[in-house]
Amino acid sequence: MDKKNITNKQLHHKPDKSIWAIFLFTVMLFIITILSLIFYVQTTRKFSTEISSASQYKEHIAFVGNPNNTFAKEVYEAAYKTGQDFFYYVEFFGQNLDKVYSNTELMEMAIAAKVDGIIVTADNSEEMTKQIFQANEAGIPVICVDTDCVGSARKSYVGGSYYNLGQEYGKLLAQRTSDEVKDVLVLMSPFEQSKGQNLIFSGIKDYLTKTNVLPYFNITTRSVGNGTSFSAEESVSDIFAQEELPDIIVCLDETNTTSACQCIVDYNKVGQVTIFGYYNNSTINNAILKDVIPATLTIDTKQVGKTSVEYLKQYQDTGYVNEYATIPFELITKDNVEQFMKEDAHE
Amino acid sequence: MNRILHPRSLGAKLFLASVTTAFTIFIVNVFLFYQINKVMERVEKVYVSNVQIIQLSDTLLEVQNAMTEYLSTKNSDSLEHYYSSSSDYLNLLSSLDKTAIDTSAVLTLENIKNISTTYLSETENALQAKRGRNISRYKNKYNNASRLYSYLNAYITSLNATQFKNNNATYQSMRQSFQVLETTSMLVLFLVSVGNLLIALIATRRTMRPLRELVDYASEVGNGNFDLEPMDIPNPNDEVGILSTAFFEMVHRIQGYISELKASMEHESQMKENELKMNAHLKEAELKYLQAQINPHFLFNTLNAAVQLSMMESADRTYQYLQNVAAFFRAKTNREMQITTLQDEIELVDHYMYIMDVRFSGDIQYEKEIDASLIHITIPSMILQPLMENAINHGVRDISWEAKIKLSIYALGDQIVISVKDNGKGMSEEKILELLKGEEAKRQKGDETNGVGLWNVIHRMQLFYGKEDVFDIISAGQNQGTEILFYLPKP
Repeated sequence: MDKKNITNKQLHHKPDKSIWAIFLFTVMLFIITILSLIFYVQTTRKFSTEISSASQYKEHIAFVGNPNNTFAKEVYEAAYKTGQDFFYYVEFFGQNLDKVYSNTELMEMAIAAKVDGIIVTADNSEEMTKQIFQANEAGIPVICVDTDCVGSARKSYVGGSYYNLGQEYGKLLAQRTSDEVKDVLVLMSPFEQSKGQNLIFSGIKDYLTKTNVLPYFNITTRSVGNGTSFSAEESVSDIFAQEELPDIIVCLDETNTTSACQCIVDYNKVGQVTIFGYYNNSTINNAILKDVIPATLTIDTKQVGKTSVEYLKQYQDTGYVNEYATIPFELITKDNVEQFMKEDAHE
Repeated sequence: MNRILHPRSLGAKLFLASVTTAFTIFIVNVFLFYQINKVMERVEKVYVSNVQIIQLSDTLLEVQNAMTEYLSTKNSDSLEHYYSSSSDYLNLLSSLDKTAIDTSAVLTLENIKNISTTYLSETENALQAKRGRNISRYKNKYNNASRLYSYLNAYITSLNATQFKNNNATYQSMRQSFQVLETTSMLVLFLVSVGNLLIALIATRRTMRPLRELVDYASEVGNGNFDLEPMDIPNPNDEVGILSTAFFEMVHRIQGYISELKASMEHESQMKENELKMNAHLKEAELKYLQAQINPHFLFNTLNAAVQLSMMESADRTYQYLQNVAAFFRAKTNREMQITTLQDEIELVDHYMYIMDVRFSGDIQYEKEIDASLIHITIPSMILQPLMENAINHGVRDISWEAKIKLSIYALGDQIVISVKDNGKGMSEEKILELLKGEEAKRQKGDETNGVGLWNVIHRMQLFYGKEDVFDIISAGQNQGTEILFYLPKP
């Protein structure tokens, strides 16, 4: 065999594929690294979006009210939702503070904070009138809801007509006319020895007079509590602790109604005392459902909240707004209480 | 690219493999450290806003204290302190802007800012009233400012709580991302390590495979197997490739040397065999001669006695004959040397022919034609006499006509020719060819010969001169005589 032949045959050169395997592995490792980077960035981005970002708004509106009050909370919710349509941010003022401030203090804060508008569940106190005046001075329009601050510099009042409310109570009383003269106790707020409650009282009397049943009712009023925290409940409890109980109690606010509903059960007076309440919450609704009390009058809080913001916007846009926005009252009895309970549950 | 993918040297290959794996690990680590650093930076910043809010609260207290102090003492230091702290307060307030991330915090911050402006203007008013000695006004403003201060504190506390809540949420999200990073890193590191292990394995196997094959080949060669299957060399230019090429070249050369060695050994053994054969033939000749030499001393003594007897009886012819016989046997007995001269051989033939002449009653006419210049050449002993014997026994013995035998020695070109020609029975063409082909005629039983056969002579001549072509036979046919020719090279 020739030498060259041997050498060529024995030293056969085969192309090597392993270098490509190494190359592929290296490329694969880089791809893994890049994919994991993408995965990591995607995952962490998801975390950061979980923290809400600040919403955009044009006007900052202060809602002043008692955060423990269902009425105030419901009005606020409605006002907040309506405000979003106009890029108004409605803030439940002082809600996040760890101390509970009175409405007048909150008003003072809101004025100092130079908000663009104030919606307040007002009262007829001098302090409130003064604060509304100061707000007006500072160019901040004030809308009163639920209770009007009569004679103040408020731009508008959104809520029910007190006189109408009185008439509604009159209707309820008239339905219970009998041969005996009945004692009726109207529970009033200490700060509202004023035109609002007087209007309600007149409404009741006028309706009873109109229907010629006034002589069958002996109507008295009582101011409940002294305006400080928890005093109202104590006063209501005192009434039930007395020997002599009125036949009918008319409550003109949510707190009194809720307290009365609780006390009538606690003192075992169901059937002896008839209570007409104001406003509704779960306690009151349950009381109606269980025949503890026959009826309560309420107002459409959504309508109040919505209208108050709309009025504020109207004032800011035009510099003018109706002084009153009357929202009708609704009567809740056993017949329709479930519907209100459903609404509550739904919300 | 090709050079990078196919590095030439083994070192470069190993370097490339280790650099590839190290680089991959390095890149992955850089990526991981970068991500970890990013997360750590964020973690460090998480609670910065809370620290700032606490500073804000402290500064606000300083402002309030400075105002109170000035109102009670009208101390210019406290006034200065009031201005510096209120300026600090405003700076801190503006720096808080960036930290609020949700609506609640933004609103609270805005409330704080606005209430602060109102508060600072009230404090300013109080200070001015103090300077103007308007007691009722500064008291009123002080009360306003103090109320606002308490509101501000409430708000700052609230903001702190809100921010703390948000920061906690951020911190939680960071913890989550850190966990994801940890899992991702572990996974990536694991995959990269496995990948690198595979790369290292492939690279090592790739580098080691030809070496291992070469080792196998080397041990094959070590076991004496030079017929190797072809080897795959992935890269002929690296060290292993060069080594393999050199190895195979070396194996091939060794193979060459071995075959050359074999050939020369075969030649040598052939030579030795020739020598042994020659010795064997000589021994055979000698043996045959010795067999013929039945107690030569006794023969010589008896022959000498006969010679003396014939001399005393004056039988001249008998005396002559016996003397030739004695000379012939003496000559033969003394032929112990393998080599002799042509002259001695001719003398021996002369004695032999005299004896034969007497034996055959002068029927054989013996003639010789010798080139005297050639009689001193050396030849193997016992060559001529067997030829003459052959010519008598097979040529002229039983012929009816007068027998003639002629011995001629002459030079022809570079050869010396010894010719023994008879006019006897002759041979057919076939017989001559048979003889020339070397088919030794079997010696017939009872074949009368004086010791050494013609074939013995031929073989010895062939061995002595190292060539096959040493003789020839010429005959014109039946009863035409035979001539046997020996060719010796001229010395």
